[in-house]
Amino acid sequence: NRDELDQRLKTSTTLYVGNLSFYTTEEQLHALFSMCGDVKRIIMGLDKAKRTPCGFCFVEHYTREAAANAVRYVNGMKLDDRIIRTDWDGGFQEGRQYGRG
Amino acid sequence: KRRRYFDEEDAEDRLESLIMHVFDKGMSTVEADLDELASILEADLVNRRTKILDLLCQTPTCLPDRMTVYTTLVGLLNAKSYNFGASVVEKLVEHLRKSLEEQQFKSARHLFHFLADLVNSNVITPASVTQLMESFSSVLSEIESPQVRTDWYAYTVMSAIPWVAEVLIDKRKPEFERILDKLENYVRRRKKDHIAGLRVWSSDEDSTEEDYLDSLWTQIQSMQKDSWNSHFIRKPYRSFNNVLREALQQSLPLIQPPPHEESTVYPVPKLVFRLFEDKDIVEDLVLPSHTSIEWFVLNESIHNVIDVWHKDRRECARVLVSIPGKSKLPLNYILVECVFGDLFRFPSPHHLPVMYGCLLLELCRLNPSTMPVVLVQAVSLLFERMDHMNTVCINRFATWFSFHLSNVQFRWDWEDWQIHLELPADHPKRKFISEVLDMCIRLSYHERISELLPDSFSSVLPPRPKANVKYNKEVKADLPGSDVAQRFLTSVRSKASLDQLKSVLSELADEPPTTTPSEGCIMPVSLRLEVFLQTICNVGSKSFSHMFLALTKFKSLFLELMASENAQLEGLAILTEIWETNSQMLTVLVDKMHRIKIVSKLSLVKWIFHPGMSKFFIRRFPWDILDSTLRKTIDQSLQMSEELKQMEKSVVEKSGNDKMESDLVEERKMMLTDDLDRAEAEQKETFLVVLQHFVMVLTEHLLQYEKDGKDSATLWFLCTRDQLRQTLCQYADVIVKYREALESLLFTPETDKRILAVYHDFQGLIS
Repeated sequence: NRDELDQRLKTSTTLYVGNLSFYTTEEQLHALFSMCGDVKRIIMGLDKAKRTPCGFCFVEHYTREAAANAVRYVNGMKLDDRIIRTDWDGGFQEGRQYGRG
Repeated sequence: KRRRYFDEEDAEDRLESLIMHVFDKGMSTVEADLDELASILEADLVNRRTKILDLLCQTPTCLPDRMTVYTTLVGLLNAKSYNFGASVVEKLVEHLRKSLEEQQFKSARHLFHFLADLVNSNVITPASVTQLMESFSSVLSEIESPQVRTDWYAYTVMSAIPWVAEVLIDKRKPEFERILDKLENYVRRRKKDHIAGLRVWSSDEDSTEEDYLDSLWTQIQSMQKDSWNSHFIRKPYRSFNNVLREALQQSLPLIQPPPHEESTVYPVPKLVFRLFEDKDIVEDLVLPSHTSIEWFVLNESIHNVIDVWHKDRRECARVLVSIPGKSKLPLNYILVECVFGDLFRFPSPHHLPVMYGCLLLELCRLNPSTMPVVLVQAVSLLFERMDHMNTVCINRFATWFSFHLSNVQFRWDWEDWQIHLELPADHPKRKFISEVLDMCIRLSYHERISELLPDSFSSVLPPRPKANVKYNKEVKADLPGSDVAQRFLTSVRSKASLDQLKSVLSELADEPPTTTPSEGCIMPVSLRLEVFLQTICNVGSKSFSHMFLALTKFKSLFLELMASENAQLEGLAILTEIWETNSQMLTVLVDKMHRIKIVSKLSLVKWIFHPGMSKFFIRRFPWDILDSTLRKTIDQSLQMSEELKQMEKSVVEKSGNDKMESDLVEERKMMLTDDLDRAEAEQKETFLVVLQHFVMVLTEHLLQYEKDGKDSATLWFLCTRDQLRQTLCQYADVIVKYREALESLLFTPETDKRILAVYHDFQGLIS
């Protein structure tokens, strides 16, 4: 429900990152996001059928402040020449990494 | 009823927006805006007096870049209601006292300036301002106080002068001149021990860096010669002279600076950073002279804008490019100089380095035909002077540059740097280029960077990152452990149980390592551990996630095989060999192993300072790892003491509740206190061991080079020494507590004077 989601978003340290190139790797994302603070884990979004990267990922930081910095500074920056987008996410759950290609 | 509540809230929001965004619209003049706003607020004073008061009194610290706009607004309101004017002044004084007590030095300085500037809108008497300045200047004669304290008070008074000098010289000449004398006297006699430790450039010949108080004093003197005129200050109060003249003035109460306490952490001194000279300006405009007060006023407002808007890079850039007076100024140059000055600031930049990178990109977006040219010039100038640049700044510069390049398709005239590729490998310029390329590869990928570089760059291009795996599917007879490794790999791949894996590994005796290290490894290691780590890294080499998964899955094996400090050191040595070409993986992996407690802080420190690691000291990854370890140590103790404080607060609040609960809380408090004591003891040990190792390796280097009759100032020495200084100064708040131990054990009169000089830099920063 909405309230719960709002609450989760307010305390979350996880970001949804979109508009990635299919070739962008976890290591590149790590290099960029760690400029904003220590990164806990990155979960690459995968095509449901082919199980290959399909342009999004989740980035979890250790602290809220680091994640907030990533929203401020990484959002709109380029990676592999694509302008990437970051949004607060309520937290990664197994299964959410599978998307449409 | 609910409806009314919302109305009230809406009205207050509207009020807030009106006050905070005066002059934002850019459609009318600031004077028209102010006039209108003052009338609206006056009409609202009956109903929303407290809200208006709160909002106005927030502006000095929230929007210091618009100080004169708000002092004018307060002036207009004071002219309409003396009573309200009195309340504003009273509240501002209260804020200032509180900021001083709570050691919020930045806020305190803004509030001081705001109060002083109220003289221009005729809210307070000139005598009040001189009294305020005299009261703050009284600190300058405290002989016992540390210089960081007296410096802050001097700076606070001096930096207000450009705004108030004109009226004070007119109305309170004798007092003002007395204050100036006192300041001059102070500036002349204060120690300059901190300067060496703060410098970006080590060579005098190309150093234009100046102590911030010396610089400001020169600028104040030139302002005096110019009859106390300052051209870049926006003075909206002038347009309202007629109204303001009629107002009754308030008097400030005496505001006494709180006495010095041992625990107070004052802001560290600064140096003024300069990059461009008039000859560098391609535009048909002239830089304000570095000795003019205009230079100071401009820099002050640029820094204020960055402080206010740093969380919103677009707005920040927009406000910066519309700074008053911009049409007569080579603004791009001034902004770039300011941003690099901040980025290189010692011991650390005010804001996250990536913020400055984003800001420069935004500025390029707003001025696409002019800004990139200025940036190229800045990079070239900095690169030219790289030989004398502090190596910590070289790293910051390289990080920024690669981030910038990755946002502009890595477009750069690489050919321009071709001639420097002939330089020896340990030349700062070569270091910079390979550091930049290394970061570019991290943000992109090896093929791409290698393709866009001219062929001649192959000597500086870092190798393609990969796992340097020793064992693979085939058994090699001449490679010890190869057969077991092969069986171990098969077992891992076939998802054998941990017990089965352990029994495979135990085919190798748990022998102490041989005395000579194998080729490529920094120290002799146990074969069993090597087979284990080599195989796990092989399996996990595909990505960070694969590696972390392996770490979690085989954690118990890691813990068992790396139980002792020695085994941890050996393990780290093996990982170094495997990931030598992938320093990013090594850094991330080691961080993770530390967080999940496979390796201890002390093992990490001892590994970094192991003689075999010293060849990496001219790179940045060992220092990144060291710094991250120290940061985590501090964070841990901070977190605990914060928790303890919270708990104590809740105990006080809840006192008198039932006994059972309070006993429980008491018990938890005791446990936490114990934990904190342990964490602080560990923190002390970590710092002492780190500093001890620094002194050891530097001493050895100096002795060796002296013995060989060679110049000891190699890149290795510079990197290690600069990193020692960085560590001391960055964590000065913590390290200051260990001074006694440091001065009796490490930094003694017997220590080499070149190492001792670094310690003096640290002392200069805190005393």
